[in-house]
Order: sequence, then C-alpha cells, then structure tokens
Amino acid sequence: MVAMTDMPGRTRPRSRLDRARQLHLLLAAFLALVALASLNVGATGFSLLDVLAKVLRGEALSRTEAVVLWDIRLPRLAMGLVVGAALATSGAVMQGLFRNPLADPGIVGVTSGGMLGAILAIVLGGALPSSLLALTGGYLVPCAAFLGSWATTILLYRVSTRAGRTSVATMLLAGIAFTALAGALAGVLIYKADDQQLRDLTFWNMGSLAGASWAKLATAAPIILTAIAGALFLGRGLNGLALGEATAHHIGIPVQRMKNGAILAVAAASGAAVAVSGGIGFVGIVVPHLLRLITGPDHRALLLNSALLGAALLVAADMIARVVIVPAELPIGIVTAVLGAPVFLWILLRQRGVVDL
Amino acid sequence: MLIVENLSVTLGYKRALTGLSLTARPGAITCIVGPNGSGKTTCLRAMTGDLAYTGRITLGGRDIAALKPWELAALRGVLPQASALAFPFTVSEVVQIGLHNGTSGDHDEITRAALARVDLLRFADRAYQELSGGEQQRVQLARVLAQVWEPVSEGTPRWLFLDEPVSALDIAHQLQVMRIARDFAAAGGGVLAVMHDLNLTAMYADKVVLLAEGTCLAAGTPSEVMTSQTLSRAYGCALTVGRTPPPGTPFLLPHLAAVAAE
Amino acid sequence: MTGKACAVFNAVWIAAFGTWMAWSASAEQLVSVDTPHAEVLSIGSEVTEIVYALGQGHRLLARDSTSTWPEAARALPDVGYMRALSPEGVLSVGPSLILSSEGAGPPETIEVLRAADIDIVEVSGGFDAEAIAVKIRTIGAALDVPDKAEALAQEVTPALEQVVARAEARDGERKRVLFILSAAGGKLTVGGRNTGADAVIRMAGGVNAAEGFDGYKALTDEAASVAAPDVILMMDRGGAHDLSAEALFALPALAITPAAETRSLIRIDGLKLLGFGPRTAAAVSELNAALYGG
Repeated sequence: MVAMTDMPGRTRPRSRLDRARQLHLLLAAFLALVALASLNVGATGFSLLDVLAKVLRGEALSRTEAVVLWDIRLPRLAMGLVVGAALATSGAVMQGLFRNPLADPGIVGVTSGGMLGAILAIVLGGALPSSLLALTGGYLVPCAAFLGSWATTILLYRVSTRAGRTSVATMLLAGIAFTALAGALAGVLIYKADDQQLRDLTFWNMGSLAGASWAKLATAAPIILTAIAGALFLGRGLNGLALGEATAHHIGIPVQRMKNGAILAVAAASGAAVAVSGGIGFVGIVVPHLLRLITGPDHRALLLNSALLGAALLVAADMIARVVIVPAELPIGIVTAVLGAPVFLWILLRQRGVVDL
Repeated sequence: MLIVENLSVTLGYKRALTGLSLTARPGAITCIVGPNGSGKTTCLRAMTGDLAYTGRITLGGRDIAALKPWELAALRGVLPQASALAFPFTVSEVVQIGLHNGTSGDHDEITRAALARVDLLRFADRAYQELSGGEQQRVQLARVLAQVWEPVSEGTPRWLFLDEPVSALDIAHQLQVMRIARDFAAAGGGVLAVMHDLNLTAMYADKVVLLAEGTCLAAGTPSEVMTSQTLSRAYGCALTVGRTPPPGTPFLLPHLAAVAAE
Repeated sequence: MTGKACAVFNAVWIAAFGTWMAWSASAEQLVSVDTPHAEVLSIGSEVTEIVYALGQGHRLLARDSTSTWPEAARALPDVGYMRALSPEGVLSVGPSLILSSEGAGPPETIEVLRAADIDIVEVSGGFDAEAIAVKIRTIGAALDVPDKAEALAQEVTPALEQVVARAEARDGERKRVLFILSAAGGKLTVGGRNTGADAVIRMAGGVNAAEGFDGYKALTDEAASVAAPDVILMMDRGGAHDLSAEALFALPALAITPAAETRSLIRIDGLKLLGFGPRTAAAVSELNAALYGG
C-alpha cells in the first residue's frame, strides 16, 4: 500500500469504497447496454435499429412490429429490470441483516408465503364468486401471492419480536418452521389440484417474465422502486451490524429501527417481485456475493451495485430464455439456476476458510 | 462525570447487580475489578445501554436512558471483550465503521492515525479475519478511538468504556494499550475499564472499584482498595499484596519492564 | 475439485451455453412451411388432428407440444406448452389464425396476440359425440371449409354412436376398469369421474373402478385394492419407458386386484384414447374389443 507522501498530485490512495462507487457508473453503462440488446433480440427477429430507421424515415410501424416492441419487449425489459433489482437488493439486505452470506429473501418467508398464496389462488380460485373473479381478472394469482408474502412476513416478525427487539436468530428458525408448514398446506392443495392446475403451479414455481404487462408494472414497479430507494439508506447501518448488534448499537445505529426498515423493504420489494414473476432463484444470493468478491462488503456501495447488476443479469437471462428454444420459451428460473448454481459453487470453493459461517 | 445510582440488574433468575452506586470522573482512569461473576461486565453493559436496569445512570449530566443511540455514540466509545466480523472487511474499513458521516478526507486521516496509535498501520489493507486475536482486539481499539477521536469535544469530555481491553494481548501491547488509556485521560477524556489484571490496574488506575457478588465492596485509590485483607475477602482466597514471593520462585512485575518509547 | 478446476468448468459451461443461445438466436427464421395459404397455428392435440382430417394440414405453420399426431405434425415448429406460450415466439411463427382448445394461456399473452390482430378461435371441450361434432364444425368454420367439416362430422358422429350402442347392448357383467395416468415411483394417479378416461370407459361398456372422486388424483394403495379393477387401462406412449406388465402388477397397490390375477393390462395410444377427436370411435371400439373380445 503506497503511503500518501509517495504520490504527488494524489490527495489520498483509492479505497475499496471508492472503487465500488466507480463501479456504479460502470454497471449503469453495462445495464444500458444489456437493455438495448434486450430490445434488439427476440423470436421475431425485429431489430431495434430497423425500427429506429423506419421511425426516422417517417414510416409507420407494422402492427406486428408495434406489438412486439411496445407490448412484448418493452414491458418485459422494464419488468426484468425492476424484478432483478428487487431480488438482488433484497438478497444483499438480508445477508447484511442476518450477518450471513447465504441469506436470501426467502428467510423472512416471502417466497414460501408467496407460493402458498399462489397455490391457493390457482387451486381454489375457481371457487370464488364470479363477481370477485371478474374484479381481479388475471391478477388473482399475483395479488394472492403478494398478500401471502406479507402475511408471512408479518407473522414471522411478530413471532420473533419481543419487548421491541427482533431476534434474527428466532426469525431464521421460525422461517424454517413456517416454510415446512407452508409446504404441508401446499401439499394438501396440490392433492386437490387437477392436472392443469399442477402444471400452472409448476410453471409459477419456475418463474417467468412472460406475463409482463404495463398494468402489472404500474402496480409492482412503484412498490419495488420505493422499497429499493429506502433500502439504499441502510448501508451504514448494515456495516455496523457486521460487528454484532451490541457494537452496532454502541456506534450509534438505531438497531431495531433499522431491522424494521430492512424487513419492510425486503418484504415489499421481493414480495412484489415474486408476485409478478413467480419463483426466480439465485439472483438474491449470487449477485451480492460476486460484488463482495470484486469490491468488498461495504454496504454503502454494495446495495446500489446489487440493484444495478441484478437488473442487468436478469434482463440478460430473460434474453436467453426468450431465444434458446424458439418458438417456445424457457422459464427464466431455469436459466438463472443453470447459470447461477455453478457460479455459486465456484464462489463457495474460492472462499473456503475466508468467511466463517 | 459518570454517575451510577442504585443500579440493579436481573439476568434471568439471578440478581446480577444489587443497588450498585459508583462515580467516575473525566481526566482519570477508573477500573472496575472483582472476581468472576461479581457483575463487572454486567455493570458495563448496563452503562452502555445493552441491558435493562433499574436505577439511574448519568453521563455528563444527562440520563443515558433518555439519549438516542447516536447521541450516546457521540459521547462514548465501547470496546467489547470479543468481536466477530461477519464479512471480509479490511482493517481500515473496520476502523471506519464507527465514524460518523463527514468528509472522506477526515475519515482517512483519523483512520490512519488511530491505526498508528495501536501500531497496526502496516496492516491497513489486510483482511481483518487474517489477523490474530490480539491484533484484532487492537483494531477494535483503533475503531473505538476513531469514534471518539477528540477526548474533549466542545467542552464536553468524552468517554472510553473498555471491557477487558488487554485480555488477549502480549505484555508489550498490554502496556501500550494502558498508555493509550492514560493519554486519553490526560487529555481530559474519561476512561472506565473492566479489568482482570490487578497489577496493571494498580499501575494505571486513578480509581478502583472492587465488586463482589453484585455489590461494591470498596472504592478508592489503588492503595486504598488493593489491600491484602480487602482483596482476599473479595476473591475468596488468601492474597498477599506488596511482598516478594518465596526465594527461588520466579515472578514477573510489569512495573519493571522497560518498554521502548513511542 | 479445486477452485481453479471449477473456474475452468464454469467458463466452458457458460461459453457453451452462450454459444448455443447465440446460435439459436441466429436461427430465428424457423422451418417455414413454404406452402401458399399457410397461416394457422393449432394448439391442442385433437385440434391438430381435426385440421389434418379436414385435409387442411398444409395450412399449419406450427403446433403446440401435445400435437404429435399425425406424423406430419411433428415436423412443424413447436411453440411449447399451451398454458405457457411465449408471445413473441408465437408472433415469430407468423400466424393470422390460432385454433386452440380450451385453456391456452397465460391470459396476458392471449391479450397481446389479439392486440396484434391475430384471430383466436377457441374450440370448446367435451367428452361425448356431440362435443366432437361441435369441435369439427367450429374448426371447419374457422378454416372456411364448412362442407368438409359437415361431411367429417356426419362420418364421425354416427360411427361413435354406433360403437357406443353396440357396447351398451351387450349382455353380461360389466368389467371394472381402472385408468392409470401414471405409476411413477409406485404412486398411482388414476382417472376419477368427469375425466376423459371415465367417459371412454363408460362408452366402451365398462365401469370406472375409481369411484368417489373427480379428476385425476393420486390413489392410496389400499383404495386401489378396494376398487378391485378387473382390467387396468393405460396410455401407450410407444416408448421403452412404458412400465412393463410385470413391473406394474408387482406394485403392492395392484398385486391383489383381480386385474393382477388375470394380468389384464390394456394399452391404447394416449392421444387416440383421450383426444376426443376423429379417432375416438376407433379408440372406443378397440377398448371394447380388448375388454370383451370380438
């Protein structure tokens, strides 16, 4: 490490935090590139450049081109950005809160609650009065999934909070218990389900951005973006938490308030993400991990970088999902698993002995 | 001025502290000593706001129960007995964790100065988890020093609360840490340390508070408190203060160590 | 496995995957059916069958994953599972008309396809002769060949009604038939009431042994023996994957049934059996013959 006096013209040496902050710009540029590529790629073969050329020449787009661009690719891109950012940031926050690099949003019950809500809607949805069905229309499953996530998070929070203090250890254990319970309830419902419903459920579990629509975005995006924006303020607090809750308190961090904020942000962001896109895995664990390896665990930069990289990677995964078995489509959860699992294993192998779990 | 009045703490079913009262003044080092289970660490944890207690604790005239965490953090730094780190931060990053928002330039200077005080500047960019236990403890001390860098700020003395600060250190570093505490107090800050080591306490404390079974047995200067009779009563075994051991038995007195000047 | 070996493995793996993706992306222009007036996407095995039965197979651009009969259909591009369609994937095939059996989805995809000015005609389901006729007529109308549709309906409906009547008229004990959808892992999924299997069994003059529940459900081992089927009916998937009769009757659930004693197992092609299209009459007749001989 070069001493300050050895470098005339430089006020101070570059810290990991500075490098991490420079990464914001790099990742934003990468994200823009991936977004443009995503608009350019698709089963129909329309390229963005052709469309732009047409517009510049003053020609109207054909019906198909317009639908592909405005109703298919753009909403999917927006959904991918928002869901990817939500999952990655939630993962980073959860890992900081539980002081464990293997934590993911599922711990607070978001995924199991969401799945239970989805199963309830898929299997029992037909039994609802038709007026209610007409009201919710195709949004029954996402709404039910979102409500399921929230109900679970609130339940887990209440169980693990006593006298104003939340015990993260209790939350972890209660989360495991609840996931088992949700699995049992799901099993009962699965028994009642017919073949078609089972297929729907399987596809929901594998996750997909295919149902992206402007209407869904209008409901999910504000929730997710607000939650992520709020989460970015947790950086310093999560750093302090890495030294333990007592020390975090000693250095002036309002620990319980921070926990409340973190759990709220994660429940909102990943609850909404899971509700509109089903069960997409690995993004919440792999993205923060990769970033920690590159620029260190400082949460002040890690949270924003996670959002940017998560968004970019999910959009890239969606590109793969859309073209690899054209004209059909692969559920995006499969792509993230196929690419994410080996990378995750590699990270674990590399880090043996460095992080003590 | 740190004033503790009638402090009682119940942990589970056990009464850890009963009606404890003590005072500590800035510009001096106050050491709390006593046998295991006498309530030393419990007392410190109550003072740092980690435990529920009955009684009253005031720091600089303000009741600590009424202060917000960040207000307390501005007044005092706490060095814990042991510290785990969940993520692979570097040594300088750990030191910076306690720093409040300010310009990064200040952060860097204070960080480096704090690391230099504990003789770990050369490890500034090493991973914290690669260090030995003793080195990690010194990094924590640097963090605490960085947090309350100015012993007196705007006329208000700031405090160091140290929980067994020298337990994992070799003798040279033990003396170094105690000298840091001495310098802090000399500059006007207050130091409250929970200590196991009676010799170091005798060397550096201005005031000693001896606890036994949750109450204060004696309080005063080291010579007043550390008498054979008092210590024997507190520790439950015959202790002799101030005489040399039988011939042929080696003994070591830190007092006689010659440590290189900083 | 050392970290380095893992890194190499990952790099190769991701490179291979990425190459495959790039290659697929560049091969977007699919096996296009270069015949005039090809503009239809058919979804649902019986819908595809009916289209070919009407002599309109040359108008198909693509089909869904279940449409594997006739052989010509297999050569068409596959848009995947009908309830999980990809909007851009379907558009890339370029249909102007989609013929679909009930339940294509997801709903957002269907909306987008309608917005792209594609006609979507839904063909309703049903388990009897009348329903099949309705399917044929609906498809015929959509394809603008109502005469051919009428002719086909006139051929198919009486054929089925005849077979059913013959089965009905037969004297003697009705055999108890248990339709097993899957015996994977020793767990039996059987067809209860209100399923295609139930309808076919009854039309062929049998009795559905799976009483007391609706739909395709898992049956406990004991319930299977209580059901006491005389015959087991399964789909013939035409592969080596099919469970052999020995393996099937060795399962504890079935070992003590009357079917096991006589080793009565009937396999009929799945699409033919449960498609409820032009081949249903043949399927019912085949089942009837297998049950009662002659």
